[in-house]
Amino acid sequence: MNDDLVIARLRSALDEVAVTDARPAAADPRPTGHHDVVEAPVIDLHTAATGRRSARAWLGVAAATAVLVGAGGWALTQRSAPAATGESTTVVPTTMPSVTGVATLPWFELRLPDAVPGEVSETSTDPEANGFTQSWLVRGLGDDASSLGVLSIDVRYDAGGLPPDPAAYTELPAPQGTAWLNDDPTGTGSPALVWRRDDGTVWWVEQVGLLDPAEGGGPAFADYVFAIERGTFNDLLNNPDEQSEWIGAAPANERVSRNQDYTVGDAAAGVVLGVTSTQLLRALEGTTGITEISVAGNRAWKGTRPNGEVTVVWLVDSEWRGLLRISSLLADRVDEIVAAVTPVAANVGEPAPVRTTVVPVTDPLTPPESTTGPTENSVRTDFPDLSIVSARIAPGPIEVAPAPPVDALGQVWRVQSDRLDGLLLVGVDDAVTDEEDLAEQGWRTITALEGVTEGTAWLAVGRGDDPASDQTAIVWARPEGVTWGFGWAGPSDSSTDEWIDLVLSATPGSGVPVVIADERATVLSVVAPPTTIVSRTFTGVDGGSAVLTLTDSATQLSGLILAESVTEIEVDGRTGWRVDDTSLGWVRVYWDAGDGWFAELTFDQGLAELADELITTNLVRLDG
Amino acid sequence: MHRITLMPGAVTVTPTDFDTFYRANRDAAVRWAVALVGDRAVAEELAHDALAAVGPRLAELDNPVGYLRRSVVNRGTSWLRSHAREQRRIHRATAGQPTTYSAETHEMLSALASLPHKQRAAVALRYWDDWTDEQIAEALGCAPASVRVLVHRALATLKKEISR
Repeated sequence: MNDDLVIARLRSALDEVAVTDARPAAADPRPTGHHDVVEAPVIDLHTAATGRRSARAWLGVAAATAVLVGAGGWALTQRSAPAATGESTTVVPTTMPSVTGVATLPWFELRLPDAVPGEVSETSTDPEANGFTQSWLVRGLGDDASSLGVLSIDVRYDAGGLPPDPAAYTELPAPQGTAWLNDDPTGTGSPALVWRRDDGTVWWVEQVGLLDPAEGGGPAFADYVFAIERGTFNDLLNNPDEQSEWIGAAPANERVSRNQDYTVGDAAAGVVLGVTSTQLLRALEGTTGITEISVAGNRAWKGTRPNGEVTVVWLVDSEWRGLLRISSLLADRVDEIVAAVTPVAANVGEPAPVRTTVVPVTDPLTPPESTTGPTENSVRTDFPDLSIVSARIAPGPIEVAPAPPVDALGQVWRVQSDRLDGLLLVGVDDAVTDEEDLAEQGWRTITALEGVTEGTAWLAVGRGDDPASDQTAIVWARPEGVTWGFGWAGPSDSSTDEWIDLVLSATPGSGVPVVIADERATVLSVVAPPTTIVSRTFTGVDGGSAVLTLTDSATQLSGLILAESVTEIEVDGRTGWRVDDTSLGWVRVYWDAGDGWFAELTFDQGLAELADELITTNLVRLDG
Repeated sequence: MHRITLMPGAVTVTPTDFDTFYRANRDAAVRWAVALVGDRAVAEELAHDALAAVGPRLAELDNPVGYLRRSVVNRGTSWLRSHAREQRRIHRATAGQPTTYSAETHEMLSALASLPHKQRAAVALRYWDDWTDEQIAEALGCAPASVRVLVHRALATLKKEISR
């Protein structure tokens, strides 16, 4: 197969994906509680993960320290196969819930002596949201000053559904555009306003949760909405006033909800407990008498539906809401049930049983990892609190995420001598490579090194499209059945005899992968698989941005490898390495931030000129 | 996901400006994201987020489309990183089941999924969406020469995987 054919296949495949949603969309974005079972997004992207990729293929990444595929991209030992080993799909449902887009799913269980857990179901609705939903809590909207409601505004970019049903909506004067009001909330229980504005957007506004839904559904509600100013950000509106509290924004349609049914006592109808990524309004829709309570230590709201069912929603994090529905048959036990909601560890990556599967649900809430140690989603929170403090810089939110599943094994040394100045990195592969492997991986010049008494070592040069972009590595097939791939980053040249001699002095370590007993080399870090990535964007008020990334692994230093030139600087009171990317006009700085954390700070061209000043003067540790 | 932050000091963008930008670039942004993640539904969410990120900066950006490219690529890469294992599990569990895609597409998506993120982005954006080396380099944060290396390696791997 030649390149042209591969490219044609690639184009054809992506063309097909572009026009096909693998997940059958639930046509109507109904409120949470409709338990649709969706077909699997059967893409089978990687049946090869269980071993089709050979160790040799892996070596293409690991060995040679080419180890590193680009700035910020670590591939010291980026294996695909180990992810499959040792894992069994003990539950293989005939259909899978659509969990695409879900990274970490919070989960709760109902701890009551007479609560019996049932099946887990998942709802996924068409994510093709053409707009955003925003929710506010509003106090005193309407005649009752103590009322508490939720105001939701969908900002949409099309006029679908307009004009609304004239049987329910009445056109009324608006300060701009055209507006229709449904002030007789029979059926939905929610006063609603539709406002086609002169700016081309259409606002669908709903108000729920008043003690008496009829109150506030008239002109006062409309006037309140008309007074809201549109924000500078297209999809966000300015907080209307002091009565209101902004709760969140999300794409207009709900995305994923996962729920578990419980039977409680002898009640014929029971409890539904789960989580949803939908907005607050959607979950509380149709309820009245909303009051604020606490669930598992989280801020929560409780409302009652016309049929007596109680709905409780709580804010789990910025993305997820907890959801509890209690049948009217259990009305006398609502407080007890609410108090029994308990957070548990869960891992969305496990196949989840769904309503139609014949596999009984045994314990979907506590996957094995949670009982044997940290789950893959565990993240560290003890990262250094580094920030750029300047009137010219607006810091963004700190985002903490699990690190990608990389099996990293290697080491980093700081090397200093008269002729050597830089970082020596090694990646360890658990298979032996040979010259054929290296050629396959794109190394054009492979020279066996003489004087190697244990195994075979090669100086490998190549992998670039031209000599200027070539990399240099020493690949050493060891008699212990492993291969070491050494790379270099630093101000001095890597292809010197001194560097080669230093590398060839390495021996297998005990407790560490590799030992270099040489005073020129100081171990900077033993590379461990990262667990956590912390990132924060700093935006220059006059333009440009900088991104600070912290990882609890020396993998962070990989960005140095492809740098054309590296200079040593002081950053954060420590030794760091600066890379000037002349082609992009960017500046990158790397350093060991201490306590197992490694940092990368990248200034784009808009802030690159200020990099020196910001690093020297404005980069501070807020945690001392 | 969908963490939306109003940035102090952000330049005011008139709604009309952004509406125009949004309408003009939404489809392209979705397409770029499809190239990265191979899933239209996810791509639409990523594209939405990326477009939202452009909003507050639109007036100050010399090249808002370039910024959007970077934003889509960054979000796609982040998504792939955080969902790689989850995706593998799903795909293992559903292997062999009927797919909405043709067999050839199915096979190519599998091969694409075996690539490192940057290789996948480089080859898909180059050959499916005709980005230049410079555009890819800017979005990936590497040199154009590195892009050529990434594309070269990606094609070699795809060829190998497809030929099995």
